[in-house]
Amino acid sequence: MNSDHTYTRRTLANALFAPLAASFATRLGAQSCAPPAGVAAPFVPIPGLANIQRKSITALNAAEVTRLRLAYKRLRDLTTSNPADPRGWMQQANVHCWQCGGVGSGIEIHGSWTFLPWHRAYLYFHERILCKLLLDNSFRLPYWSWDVVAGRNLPPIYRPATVGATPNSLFNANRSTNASTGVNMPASIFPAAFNPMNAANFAAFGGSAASGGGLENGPHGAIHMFTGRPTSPFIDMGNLSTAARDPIFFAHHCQIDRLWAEWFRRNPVAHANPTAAAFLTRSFRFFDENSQLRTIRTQQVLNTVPLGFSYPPGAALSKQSNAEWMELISDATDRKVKLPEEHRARLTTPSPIARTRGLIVEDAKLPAVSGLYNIFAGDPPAAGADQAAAPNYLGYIGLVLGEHAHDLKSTLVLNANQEFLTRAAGTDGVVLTYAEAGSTQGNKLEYANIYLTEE
Amino acid sequence: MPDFRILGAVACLALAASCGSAAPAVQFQDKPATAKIPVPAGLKKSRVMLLQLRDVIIPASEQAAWHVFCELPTADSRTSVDHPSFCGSVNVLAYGAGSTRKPANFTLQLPDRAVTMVRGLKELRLTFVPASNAPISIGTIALE
Repeated sequence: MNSDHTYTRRTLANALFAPLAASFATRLGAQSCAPPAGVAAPFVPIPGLANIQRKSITALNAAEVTRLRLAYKRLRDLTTSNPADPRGWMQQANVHCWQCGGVGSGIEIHGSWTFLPWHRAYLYFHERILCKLLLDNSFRLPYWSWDVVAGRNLPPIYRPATVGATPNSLFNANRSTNASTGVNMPASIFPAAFNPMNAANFAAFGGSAASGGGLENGPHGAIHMFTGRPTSPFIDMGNLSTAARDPIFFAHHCQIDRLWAEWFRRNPVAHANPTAAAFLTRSFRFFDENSQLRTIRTQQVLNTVPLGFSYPPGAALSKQSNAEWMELISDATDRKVKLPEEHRARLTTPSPIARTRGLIVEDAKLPAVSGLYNIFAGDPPAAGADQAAAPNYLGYIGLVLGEHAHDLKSTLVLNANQEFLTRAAGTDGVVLTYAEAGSTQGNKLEYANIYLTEE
Repeated sequence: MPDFRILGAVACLALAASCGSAAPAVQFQDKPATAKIPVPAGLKKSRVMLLQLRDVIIPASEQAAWHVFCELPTADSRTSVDHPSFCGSVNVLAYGAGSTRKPANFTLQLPDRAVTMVRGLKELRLTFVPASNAPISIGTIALE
């Protein structure tokens, strides 16, 4: 519909009357979010752009959280210093508004197979702009991992209005009370039997030419609605015109994008993207990091590597995913973890089938001091060793806490590696410990339940 | 002051009628509604069934959400989405002031256990349970 080279009567009419309609609508109190003018040039991938994995918000360390906040601060500052700059915060938010039924645009990228590729392209240009503002090409957007039970509330770093005495650039006042206060999403968002990750084909997962798919209509929409205000006009996240005025929008859509990548990875044959020319050649326009208007086509975003990002495989672990869950034996007193006897032989024997195994530690008690903590099966390695390279290293927690943090608990997702399985299969089991990065002082990890997941 | 939400819904429905559209398959707002659709004979052995909701009219300024249950006409807002008859959900965001919303289409893949149940039927009863207060009109429903 909005292809650059194909003008239908509707697009022509939109082009002619959009400014008039937008002006008229503004006088009626409606919102105008028309983009600045520009002459579009074709998108060309940046040569040599490093492929860097996007991370879960929960996996960001303290320095990465600081960088994320700085990125959005600079984006907001750009709107203040030059509201007309197409890269600034409000202009970025208006990109979504305009392309999603904005008054006078005649464009709607939701409700069809355009939903996934358009948002991927939007995130790409948004990410490049943030890199430019940071003068740091290694920055990548984080994702809101609501696929795991622990991630089903607004991430803590997005909640406070200030950090110390400084405004928190990730904060947004137009959220529901439940989201703002960290209340968990309702379980009804994630029905056990209706998981878009189980979709058999792209139409069911990502939509078709004229119909929205399960990912968009299911958790995507429900989490938008959970985050925005619950009454009309449902600002910000619950309204297509204002949704991208909340910084969590970008983390939410990064998660949607990650689930697309993960769904494709699980079965590239059955889960193939559409091959119709109407899908592959559909084009969109965005301003890039140099304020140059670019035209990008769907087929240019299907492979994320040239766009400089990817996602860790084996994602989307959840009780509702394809993963099988197994509760491990854990002594309530000494906290020694053991594998169930009937699974020990299988889990400690190399399998011809590649499996992704994870450890889900529910309600783990967190340290009360901000910092980076590594988690081990058994004691931390000796002084001077690279902790993350130790065979018994299972993962880490990055904590950025407020002044009054106490009695914090969270569910952790860790790597169930061979060393863990071997130790947990022994008669004594294994104790999980955490240690501040570089420290040899291990502390016993306390938690409620522990599960092994297999995909 | 008139209730613009209701006026909007009436306008949407009137527009559909004036265009010569057939009567909608189902309409609901604050109470569940049930519709019957045929189960195509060609789907008897199918492992994948897609429920197509077409020409769905929702007022532009409203959020809309609903759950679909198969062969459970007693389903209501208290029925769990983990009930064996649960067949899917739709969640739709609002548009900003001044925007218009075109009739939309939604594709739901039936869960495996629903597929097993539907295979033996000639006719399927679908119950739509609203999780919002928006007036919703679904033009046509098909199982493919």
